[in-house]
Amino acid sequence: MSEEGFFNQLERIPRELIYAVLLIGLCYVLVYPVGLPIKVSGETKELYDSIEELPDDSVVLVDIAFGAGGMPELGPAFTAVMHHLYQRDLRVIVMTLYTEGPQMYDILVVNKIEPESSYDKTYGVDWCFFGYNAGGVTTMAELARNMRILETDYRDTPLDQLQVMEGVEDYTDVDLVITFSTSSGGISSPADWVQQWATPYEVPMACVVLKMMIPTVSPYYGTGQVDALIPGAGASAEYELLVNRPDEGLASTDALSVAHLIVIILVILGNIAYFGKGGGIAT
Amino acid sequence: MIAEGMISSFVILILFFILLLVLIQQSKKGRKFEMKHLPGLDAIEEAVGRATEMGRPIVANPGLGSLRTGPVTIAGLSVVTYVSRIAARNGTKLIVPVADPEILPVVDEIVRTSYNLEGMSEDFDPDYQIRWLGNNQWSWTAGLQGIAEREQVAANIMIGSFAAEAMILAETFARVGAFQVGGLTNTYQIPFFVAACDYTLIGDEMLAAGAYLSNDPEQIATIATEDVFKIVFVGVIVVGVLLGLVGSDLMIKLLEM
Amino acid sequence: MSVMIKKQIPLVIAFIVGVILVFEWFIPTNLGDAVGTGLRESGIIINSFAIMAGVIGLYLNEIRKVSLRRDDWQYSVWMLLVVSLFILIGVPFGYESTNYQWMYNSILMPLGATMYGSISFYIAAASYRVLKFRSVQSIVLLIPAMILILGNTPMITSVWSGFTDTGGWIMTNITQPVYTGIMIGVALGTLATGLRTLLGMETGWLGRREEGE
Repeated sequence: MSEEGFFNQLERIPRELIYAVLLIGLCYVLVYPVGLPIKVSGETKELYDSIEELPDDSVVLVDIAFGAGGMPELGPAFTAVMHHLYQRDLRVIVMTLYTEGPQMYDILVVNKIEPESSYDKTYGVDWCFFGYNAGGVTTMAELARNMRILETDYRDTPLDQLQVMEGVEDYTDVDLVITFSTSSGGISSPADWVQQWATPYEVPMACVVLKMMIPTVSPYYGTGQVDALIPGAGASAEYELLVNRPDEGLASTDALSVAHLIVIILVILGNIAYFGKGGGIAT
Repeated sequence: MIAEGMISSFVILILFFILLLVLIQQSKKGRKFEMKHLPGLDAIEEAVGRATEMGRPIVANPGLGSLRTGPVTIAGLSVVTYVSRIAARNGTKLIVPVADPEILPVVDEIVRTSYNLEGMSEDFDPDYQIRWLGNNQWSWTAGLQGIAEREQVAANIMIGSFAAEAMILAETFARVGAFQVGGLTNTYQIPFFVAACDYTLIGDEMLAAGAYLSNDPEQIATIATEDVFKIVFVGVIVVGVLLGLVGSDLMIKLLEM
Repeated sequence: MSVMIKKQIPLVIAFIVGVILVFEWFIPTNLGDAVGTGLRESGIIINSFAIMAGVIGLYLNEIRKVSLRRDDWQYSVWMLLVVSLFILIGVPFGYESTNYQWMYNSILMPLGATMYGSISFYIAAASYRVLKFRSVQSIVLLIPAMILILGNTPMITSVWSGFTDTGGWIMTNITQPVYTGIMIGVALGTLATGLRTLLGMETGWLGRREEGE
């Protein structure tokens, strides 16, 4: 094979081969994890501290703004943070404006964390779940002014009958909002929470988002409108270490490494092929 | 009277509105505002022509959004209107995938009206052209991928509200060799469109699409208003930075009013 | 009803509602609060009805496709079956019921997660195709991308955190200000589009074009 032919071939690696290499690499480390050490970042510690420093009986509003698509990345982070909330003596109100939110709640809270057996918590006393509510940003805006516009929780129990909701009327009674979001706008995006809660009412806010969303939300973090901001990928492993609950987050760090290394190798190969064919830098 | 912390926003809104009305009045009196060329939008007609020659369909994709996502979807629908007019005129097969059922009747009306206005109402085929692929993000994406591969789409105009599926769609249509014009306001998906599309409209370029394509002087006057305020904001930032350097937080206090 | 009225009535409603909500946001009064809350709650209710109308429209369209044996009509049959199944289980028994949860966990969730996971494959293929030292612009894209990828690889950052620190600097000092600038532009564009809509200049959402265009 001539040199030119080799570089031509190198530049035209079939997509199927790329997908196969990535798939095999990811599967291998998930079955045979390497288990490298990880460092807890300052940002993850910031979120941890913001929850740790809350006085007992503080009210934390948790927003589930992801569905099945966001579950692989945000699910481990959500689980780890919820473990932390249940480890403390806090009042946790879970809400969702996503149609798939109730399913996420059932999978991650009811079936995975099992707060009643794991932490001796009682539904309605220590935490509650509002269920799915339509209306997106409109509902979010209304909740800030009146938490009782949603009259019942997802079990159809009137909110007035829930001990956890005692004295919780509006934004003034909420000590921290944590949103787990894959949304870019319209339904529970971090920007919506900043516009409707953090900016007008200065409610402390933490955002756990997809890694690719960090640059979009970081302007709000930089100005202090968002008090803590972490990506789901990577930070979930760090948070699991902090709350001493090793789970899928830690297990996926090796897969993250393999995927990134394969991309780097592919980029190098692509450039070798490009220059090997006589390509140059156009100015 | 005005809520605390809202005064500066209210003043900006009123000033914007006043300037908007002034510039609209000026445009009515004949003043022309020149918009810079947006190559992505200029390329749409070429893309449709290319598809017509190849005998392959084009996709005009307004994105995942509904009318609740507001301006982004409205901008996407403006582009669908424009593309459907050209497609009707050229006899090009057009496919408009819809995710949210709220905009399904709107899209139907847009495309139907475009074909009627071009005198090609007999070519309008709602079953082929308007495809509701489900408002679940991933079912819609999977459906679109199937359309790209089965129909061997020649051009993909996707301007609207896109989320994580942006990369999948852009790469799938690139794989079938489609000419692509992408536009979105989602900052974290912009790099994927820039990497995979032939032309990309970033941020407010996309929101200006309706005005640009309509060539309506009054709509272009609104873009001029935006530009004036961008310059004003740059000035505010510069003054704020200079004040900050001398230890004054006056600008911050003014903006927090 | 004439075309003029069909077009003018929605524009008038949009203008009045828009103006009320804008002023209610800035000038809090009891009356404004009550009207604004009422309008927002109406929006929530209308949205729910719109979803229902969409599903009804879906049924009508797909049944028509099947009856006319249009292309890929078999997929329409399948879609009608699946939609009907979810409705028949979900409406009477609720989404918390075991059966609905099973359907969701077994069908929808794995499909959604798989589609989302497939992004990594497309990114790998796109990176290979696009990230080359082809021009000054592509180098500006390539180098920070490589630094950030290396900085987000746990295998590398556990040994040396230099890439993470450099990547963090890039994100904080370059990416964040650029995104802030784009967001300011988008905010102004949104404001302009919103005002165009309220003033009746932007009629794309009505699905109508001007006569004689």
